[in-house]
Amino acid sequence: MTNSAATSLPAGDAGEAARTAPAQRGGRVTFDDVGRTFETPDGQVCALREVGFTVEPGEIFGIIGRSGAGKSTLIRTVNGLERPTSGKVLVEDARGGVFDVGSLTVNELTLLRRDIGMIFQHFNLLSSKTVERNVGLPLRLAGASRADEARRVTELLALVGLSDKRGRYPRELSGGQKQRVGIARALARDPGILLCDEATSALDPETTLSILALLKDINRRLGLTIILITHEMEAIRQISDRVAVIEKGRIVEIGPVWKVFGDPQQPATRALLTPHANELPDDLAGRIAPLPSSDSAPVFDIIYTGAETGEPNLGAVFDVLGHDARLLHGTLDRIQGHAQGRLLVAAPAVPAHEATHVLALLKKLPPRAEIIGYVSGSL
Amino acid sequence: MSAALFNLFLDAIWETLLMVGVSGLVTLALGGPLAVVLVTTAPGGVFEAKGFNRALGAVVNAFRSTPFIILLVALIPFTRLIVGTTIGIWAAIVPLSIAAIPFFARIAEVSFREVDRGLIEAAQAMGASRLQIIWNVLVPEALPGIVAGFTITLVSLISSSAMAGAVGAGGLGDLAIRYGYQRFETTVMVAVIVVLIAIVMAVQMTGDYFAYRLNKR
Ligand SMILES: Nc1ncnc2c1ncn2[C@@H]1O[C@H](COP(=O)(O)OP(=O)(O)OP(=O)(O)O)[C@@H](O)[C@H]1O
Ligand SMILES: [Mg+2]
Repeated sequence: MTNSAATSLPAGDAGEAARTAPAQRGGRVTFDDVGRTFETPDGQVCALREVGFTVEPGEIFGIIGRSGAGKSTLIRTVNGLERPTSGKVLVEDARGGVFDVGSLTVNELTLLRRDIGMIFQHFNLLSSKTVERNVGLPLRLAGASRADEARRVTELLALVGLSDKRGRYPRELSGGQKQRVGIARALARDPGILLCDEATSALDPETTLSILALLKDINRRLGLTIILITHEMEAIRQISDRVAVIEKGRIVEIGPVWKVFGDPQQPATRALLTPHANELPDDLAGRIAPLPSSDSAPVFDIIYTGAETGEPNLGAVFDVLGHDARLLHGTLDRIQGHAQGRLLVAAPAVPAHEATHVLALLKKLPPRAEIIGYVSGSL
Repeated sequence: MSAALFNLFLDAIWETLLMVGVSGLVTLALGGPLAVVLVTTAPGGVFEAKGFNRALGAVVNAFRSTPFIILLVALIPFTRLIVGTTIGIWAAIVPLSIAAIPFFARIAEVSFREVDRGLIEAAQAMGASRLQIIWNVLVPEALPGIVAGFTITLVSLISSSAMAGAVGAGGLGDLAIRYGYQRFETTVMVAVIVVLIAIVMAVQMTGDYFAYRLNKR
């Protein structure tokens, strides 16, 4: 163990990560002003700049960003597959040992890597070895005896639900089964941290759900820290506690998933979350005019960000908008127990000249709201 | 074919098998590691050493591009140094191996290079040392291709051994030249060709079988 001087870790902004699971063995990862530049024939590519945040023990931390944003580069600095060109990455294990990943010797790095599991988009299983041998490989590398290896492999295969595939070769497995083998292999040495780089991107939606459920289950049961990279927002929404949005190598937004997803602050985040956020269904868009006419009703766009206390109060909304208000369009979702979504409501009872006044009343409720236009014709 | 000639023929078959077998083993023992060195010191390899890799590659290419018959003659002093003589099958094994080592190394190198980089990365992420990566990832994953490459090497050794026979090494090539060509014994010539075909086919089929069995991809 290298117990470097860096025990005073930056507090980071993890305050809101409400964790219920016991974090017996989860590791903590701190990115301290991390930068990474690549020298290429066409000049320098800056893949990471000034990245600073902390992933807390036992947390499932999501990282999202568009292709080429630097997600893989970032996650690979945690186990030293990639070295930062500036700043440092600190990994603290459950026993309190702190590793400064960039400054480790080869042997220290090997030790650290035994405490960090990693799963990959393309599974990266050895095609020449059976499931059993693949899962046991990390143990064999660390010098475990055949008997210990066999015992541990039995446990791991039971954990990922593949006990009956023990003697099969990877080519005989489906994608989801291969990823389960990958997960079992990554967990072989009881790591405190699990890194997942696009772990479900090669899988169909249903298999993705089962893999995510497995990851969540492992996180709950074993208390290990999971860092999850993906471009599938659904994956993050399903299982992450907090999420960071990375754009051109910079962290542009970070926070609890319900908050970032319910009320994204940055254009980059909005672009990722809801590429069609401002699009109405075509038939509706055609009927909404920017200005009122004699027989039109104002259309209120009511947004629940999840920050409100309690469930959305429809009664209060109708008290303001009148009881013949019509719901034109709406979505509502629950993330981490927070209801969030958007309702488009037309209010024929509200005359055009009172619309702004009513809007002000609405905003006290406290849904966020605006008038997006006027719909005419019969409702 | 007289009984004496038939005995000569059996001896020749044995000599050919011995020459090919021993040089095959030497080639495997030295060419395999050479391939590992070539691939691991290449740019991006686990023991990356660009200058060394380029120099080694140049040496390998030099041997690869020298025609075997010239190598046979050029290596005479070296052969004498190692086995103490320049005639007979043991003397032939030296140039045979030296020609086959770089040949096999290049073929095996291709198989090693085809191993998915992701696998090496996965092993690194598990905390595998570089030697462990070679032994636990590169070798097993490349094995089917290496077996196929070794089969090709053996077949080319069989034909080279006939050539070595021409300069007094013994074996089937020697027999064919002395009896078939110089004394117009057509039966001997035909028999030699038939036996060579049979040996090549046996080697190729065995190699294919193992390459197929080992391939789990
Ligand atoms: N070894 C390298 N050499 C040069 N440039 C690199 C290297 N690795 C990554 N980059 C560059 O760094 C940037 C970030 O790459 P990275 O792989 O981290 O993106 P990503 O967010 O994982 O993208 P994706 O979602 O497509 O996997 C890209 O512009 C990429 O071209
Ligand atoms: Mg990536």
